[in-house]
Amino acid sequence: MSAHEHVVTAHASDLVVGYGDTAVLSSVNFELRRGVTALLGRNGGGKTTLMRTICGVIRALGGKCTVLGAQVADGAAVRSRVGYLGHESALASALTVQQNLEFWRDITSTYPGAILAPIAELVERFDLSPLLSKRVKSLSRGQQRRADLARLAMTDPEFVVLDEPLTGLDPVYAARTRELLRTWGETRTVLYSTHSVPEALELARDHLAVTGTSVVALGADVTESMILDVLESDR
Amino acid sequence: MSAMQSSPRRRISALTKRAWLQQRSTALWLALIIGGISGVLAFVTAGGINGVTELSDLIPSVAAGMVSVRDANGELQTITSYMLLMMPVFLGVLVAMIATLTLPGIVADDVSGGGIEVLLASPIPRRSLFSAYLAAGLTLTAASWIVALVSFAVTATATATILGVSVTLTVPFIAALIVLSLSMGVWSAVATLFGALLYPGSQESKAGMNGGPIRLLALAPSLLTVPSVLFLAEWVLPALGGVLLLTVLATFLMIRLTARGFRSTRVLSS
Repeated sequence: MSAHEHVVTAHASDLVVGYGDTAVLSSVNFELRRGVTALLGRNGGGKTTLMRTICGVIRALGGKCTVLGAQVADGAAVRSRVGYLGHESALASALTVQQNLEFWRDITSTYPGAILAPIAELVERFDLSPLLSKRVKSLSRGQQRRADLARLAMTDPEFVVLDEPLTGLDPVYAARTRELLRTWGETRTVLYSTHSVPEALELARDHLAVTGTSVVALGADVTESMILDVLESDR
Repeated sequence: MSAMQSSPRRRISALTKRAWLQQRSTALWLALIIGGISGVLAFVTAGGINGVTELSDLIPSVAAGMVSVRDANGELQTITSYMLLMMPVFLGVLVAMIATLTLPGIVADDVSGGGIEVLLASPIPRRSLFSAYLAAGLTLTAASWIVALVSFAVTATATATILGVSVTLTVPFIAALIVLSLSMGVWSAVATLFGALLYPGSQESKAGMNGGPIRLLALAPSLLTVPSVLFLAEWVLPALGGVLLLTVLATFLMIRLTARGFRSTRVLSS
């Protein structure tokens, strides 16, 4: 691991995440570094809640979380450097891919300090030319995901959080997306959630597992059985 | 600095443009058609009933003289006058209905999909995001109100000319036409946005009320404005002032309630 990769880009200490008065995870402590980190956990375990909290979509119920050296408070400028891809598509279903990209360009252009990648560049990079005039509701999940990733890449974020980006993709798109995450991980922090342990082992350098109401940092040197042991302890 | 200052406007513009594209101008077409039909119906629905004697005794409100329609012989067309008198209320109800039908679309895709998550993760402060949604909703409502009003005026003038009747308008009638339709449209827009952002489940089609309570909240005041022109004809200007004041107060209250209640946990499912 190079010195560059040692840089801590996110830090959580005694973090409590949840909705309203209900804590889903508590006493969460971890550090994220540049590179790809996989977040594993069982269905309904709190992965999405944790990622939403890291990105500031929902407020932490307690503790502290910093991303790129700053707290992700409401309206914080650091959010311009964070890219978030939720489980559901952020694209309007009745509009075409082109119209959606133009909408998000107009919105992201209002982010403080935002430097936007031109739509034409994103179209070429994510192979969206054949899809531009199609309505989002007519696209497959894989095609929607590509357009969503193009939307995310628009601001060239340094810190990328993706909620199950590989779920529902066919083998070709899945391979392309894995390659994209790997490339992003060379220069930025990528946190993504997945249910596939083999894929996490192959793609990620670090691994976090949600078990019970806490998060276990498994680090880099883990095996499939170690991860499964941790996940199976979550009953 | 100038870029920062124009950011809210650009957000409003982006949301309005997207809503416009999503609805394919449905709101304005509805306003155009409904306003236009209203202008015609006000003059043609009376038919031969105007000829019935003693009508002015049966419908005394017209005697207040807010608006009167007379035929080529100078005879008062009681029913037509009455129909025209009701148009401010009628247009108010219709503009309010258009708002309840079209405005949920501004936030629907964001809430049902992942758009709202991305917007909440963005550096746009929550209050600014709410303001952008609100402004986009009010812009569309104002556009449909203008179209409905202009369409009504054009077809009403054309129909009156074709039928050879003369119309005498008064300031209170014109004020009612503007105040009632605009205030009911604005109220309905704000109430609909309140439902869409704070109770997004109410917008989904499913067994049960399907947003009924929100729509009722949005539409009911427009129906309650009927007495302001029908029974309070001599007090119409104070009554309109009261309607306007109540609408402004209720709208501000609703905006404050919605802004305070607009939280990620409201619009996101865990």
